[in-house]
Amino acid sequence: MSLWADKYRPNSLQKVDYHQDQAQHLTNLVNQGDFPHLLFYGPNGAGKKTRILALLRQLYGPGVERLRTEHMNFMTPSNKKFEIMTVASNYHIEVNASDAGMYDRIVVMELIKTVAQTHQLDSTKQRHFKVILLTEVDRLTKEAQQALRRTMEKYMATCRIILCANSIGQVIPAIRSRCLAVRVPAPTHEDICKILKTICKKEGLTLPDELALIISQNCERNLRRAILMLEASKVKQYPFDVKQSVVVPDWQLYIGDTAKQILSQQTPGKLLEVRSMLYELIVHGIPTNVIFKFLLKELVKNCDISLKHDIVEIASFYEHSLLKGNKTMFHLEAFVAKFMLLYSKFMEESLHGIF
Amino acid sequence: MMVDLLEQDFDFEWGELDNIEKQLNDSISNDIPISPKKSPAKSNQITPKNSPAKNDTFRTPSVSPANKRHILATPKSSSNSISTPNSSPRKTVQSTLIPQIIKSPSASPGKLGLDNKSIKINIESPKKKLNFDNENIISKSGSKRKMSPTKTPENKKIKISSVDSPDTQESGYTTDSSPLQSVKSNIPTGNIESKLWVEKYKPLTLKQIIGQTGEKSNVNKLANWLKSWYSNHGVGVNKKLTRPSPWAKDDNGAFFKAALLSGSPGVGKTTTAHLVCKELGFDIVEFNASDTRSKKQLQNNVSELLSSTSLSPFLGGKSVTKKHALLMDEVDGMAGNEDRGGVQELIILIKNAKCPVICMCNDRNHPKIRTLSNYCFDLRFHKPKLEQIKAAMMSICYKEKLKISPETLSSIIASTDNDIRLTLNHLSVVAAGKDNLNINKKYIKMGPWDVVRKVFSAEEHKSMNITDKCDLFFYDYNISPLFVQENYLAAVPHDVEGSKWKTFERYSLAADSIRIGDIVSAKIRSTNNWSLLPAQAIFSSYCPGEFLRGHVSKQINFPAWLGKFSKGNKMNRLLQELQIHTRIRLSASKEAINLDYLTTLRNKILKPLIDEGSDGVHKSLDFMNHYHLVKDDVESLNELSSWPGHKDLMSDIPAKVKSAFTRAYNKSAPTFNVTKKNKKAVDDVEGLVDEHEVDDNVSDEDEEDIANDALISIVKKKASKKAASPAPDKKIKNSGGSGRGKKKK
Repeated sequence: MSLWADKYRPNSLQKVDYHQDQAQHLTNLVNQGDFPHLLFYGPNGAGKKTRILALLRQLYGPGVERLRTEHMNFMTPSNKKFEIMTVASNYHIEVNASDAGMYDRIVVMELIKTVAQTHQLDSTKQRHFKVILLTEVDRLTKEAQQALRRTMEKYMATCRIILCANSIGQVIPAIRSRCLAVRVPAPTHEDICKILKTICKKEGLTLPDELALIISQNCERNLRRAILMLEASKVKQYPFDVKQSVVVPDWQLYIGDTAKQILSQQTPGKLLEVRSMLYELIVHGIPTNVIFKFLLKELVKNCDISLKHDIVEIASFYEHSLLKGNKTMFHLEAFVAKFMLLYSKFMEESLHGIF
Repeated sequence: MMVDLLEQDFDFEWGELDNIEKQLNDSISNDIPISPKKSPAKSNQITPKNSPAKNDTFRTPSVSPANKRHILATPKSSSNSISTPNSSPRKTVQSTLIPQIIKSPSASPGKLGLDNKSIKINIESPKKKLNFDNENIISKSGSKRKMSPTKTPENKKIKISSVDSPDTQESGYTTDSSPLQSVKSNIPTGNIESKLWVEKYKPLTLKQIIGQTGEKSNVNKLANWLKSWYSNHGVGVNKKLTRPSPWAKDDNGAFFKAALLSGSPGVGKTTTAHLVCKELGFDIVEFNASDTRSKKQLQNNVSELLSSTSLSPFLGGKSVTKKHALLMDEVDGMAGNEDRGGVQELIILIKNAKCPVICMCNDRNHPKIRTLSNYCFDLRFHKPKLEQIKAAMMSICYKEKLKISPETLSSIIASTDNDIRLTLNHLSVVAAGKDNLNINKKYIKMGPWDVVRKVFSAEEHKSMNITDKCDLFFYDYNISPLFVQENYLAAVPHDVEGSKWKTFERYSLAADSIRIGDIVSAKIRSTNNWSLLPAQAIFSSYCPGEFLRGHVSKQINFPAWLGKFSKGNKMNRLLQELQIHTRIRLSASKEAINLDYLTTLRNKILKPLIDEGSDGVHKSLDFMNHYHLVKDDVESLNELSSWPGHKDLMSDIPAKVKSAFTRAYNKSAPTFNVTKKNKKAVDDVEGLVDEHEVDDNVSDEDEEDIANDALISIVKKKASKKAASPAPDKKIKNSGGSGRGKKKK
């Protein structure tokens, strides 16, 4: 019924497929009965959430898996009401405060404080602390993070906070120093292949090694994506064929198309077409760093070696400028324009050399 | 304080004295009733200071500047020694000045050979003299009052009171001019001069109203309506009138007791109403926005007036036996506390009216007016065409002897948006000022479309400096950068030669500068540092314009960014919804759902429907149930995962299967619908369930599930039972997760 990615998610620290040493450390940590605030970080699809949930299960038992969702209402100082959804068990509560956008500070202040301030009713049966799981901490505004730091110290007796982030670059040092940071690196290609094969075995399918490798190379070492790709490939064609093309996500194909358009012609009219394609990507909510990354990958593939260096440089330059600005489109377009300029200049000059 | 002032005075003594002179000169020039443009030159000729050469011939005492200074200096020095208060320096100055003025006009007619206008000066100058004398007397007497026993300060003090008191000076001017006007009024041509153009050229007959000459014009309609009013609604007349259909073309408005004139300001609504009433011999009772028109007020004053045939009690004994009409001007101005209920009362009044009511408003579609318009003969005034106004204005300009080119006149009219009144006002300003071109340039309103065209136009750039180009940005600094960004690729630079990439380099440079403009704008908005706005003007508008100086080859487009932005927000909202629904099952963040899960989720739901038809409905629904997806999510899944050029899976599903799917969904998944509709009820249920959970953590799921549903509704219980039936094994396997999840969305 469920997708393989969810179906074969390990639910205890003993069952995790890779980073077993780390899992052992975590088990030891929990078995002591208490632990400091934790900060899990690592790329998408590396297994942060899986490990956090496994840890909680280790801590509280299977009761953690009985989840329910709750809507919480908040009021901003300007009397605007908004709602945040939380997922909670009896022992923990999971919040993505960054859902509230610019009002995340209010969520941190009110929700976390209220949860943290209440004591467990029956501390003999249960642990004496609750766990607050905050996801996407790197998306929190600086103000929200500031609001968090004091809370973390003050309510140490009643709660532990587990933070989950893609990168700790955006997390303020004050918070980093209050947590035990746990890095969850992306699985290696071997890990991914191994997992894909075990899944296939459990499903009663045979997966050729070559295909497993192709999938793992195409998934950016994102295990979730790898498993989903495997499942999509299976839907597309089974029995598996070694030469079978893997199912690439649509947005990735679209970025490829965009790159082709850029390379085909370097005129203002073409740039206009490319603009509408970029708009499509932005509208679909594809993160700009992803757009830059894949676009660059495709463009560089078709460039002369002498040009590659320049292209990578301008890409990084424009991605940086994008973070300073507001309207992502302007920066993406400036990048494409610059690339078109360099490319057409190079082509013209090299052609000139021939004649 | 006083000492300070005194010292100041002392320091600037000479300057001050010169000022007096200038003021005197100015006052002369101002009061000459020739058109002001010409006057300064002439007055200069008369005044001694500026034309020493001519003064030589007049043999005035203060001929050359040096001479004058000498004369002025003597009294000053003497004032320090002379103890009599009356011999103030001020006085001596006047004594030197005034004779000049007296002398000059007497000398002027013959010697200067001035034309007719100078004769006017002749007539008026004695007046002026008088005035100045008066004024001086006033100031002297004022200074006398302030005198103190000590000599030297006293002298200076006199200066303060006479020189530095603008009040007396100004009042001097005003008193100066008023008698002059009376003089002017004796001269026939001077009469027109004094009037505002708007008043002066007000139409006096119906035919003079601009743009209302046709047979079916509003003026004629109104006149006909008014003419036949008493025969339609008069006392004792019991005509059966039917309400005309709103689409009737040639309605004479006989049904209505009131008329509503609507149209933008300055088209002549009030003028029309007044003139029509006048020509038909109606007496007008007017109420406009300056009168309070509250319900009470209207009841007290107007209703009495309207329901009676004679106006004598209202107008204080002045008997009016003729027909009368009520003019309610600026009806849309009936607002605020004072006029509360005014419109309602007005409607009631109209219903009971015994005389025609004419209402006027600007905004015909205002909600307040809309109710009123049901009871009114609707006459909409449209703006007259530019040519119509132009013709009238040309004749006025001719009468005023104002030379103005037809192009300038057109642009002035266009800048006022075909508002006759404003055009006249502008024209009179132009007539008064010297450089009419400069004035009217600023009046012209520009839309962002015109602005963009100008930004990239090499032609326009010739006559613009950097400030002018930056000003283009400030027409609307919110939208301009977007317009520039949207359209800079359509611009064609003129001054580029050489290879292809050289042209493209311009575009790249422009794109770069637009990008920097965005960074500046982000900085402005995040730190509220609005002083950076000129910097943004340079980057967002000026630089792209410079790089791509040429012309715009295509149609100017409205910035797509705005539309895309809101679409992006919508997509984001859909995604958030999806994440919330699947939260329990999926650990993925929003971004991960977007990048990885979307297509798989969509395919899992839609593929069975496509491949297996109606048999696949069950499969899809199970999947949806498992991931807590609702019907709307399927749509948003499809929308989010569709890309241009890719096939839309939804369209592959036969309509029959689609409806089967919807039916099955409605039957089997009521829980979701309920959570959407009455969240509160479910919240209560939630509380109950929570208690349950605390009590017996490992109680069997199914029982609780049903109990929970029963609380919502019995019908749903049956349905959920049905829905639950295909997947009982799942429930056991997932140990409660599904049960919990189903209660919520």
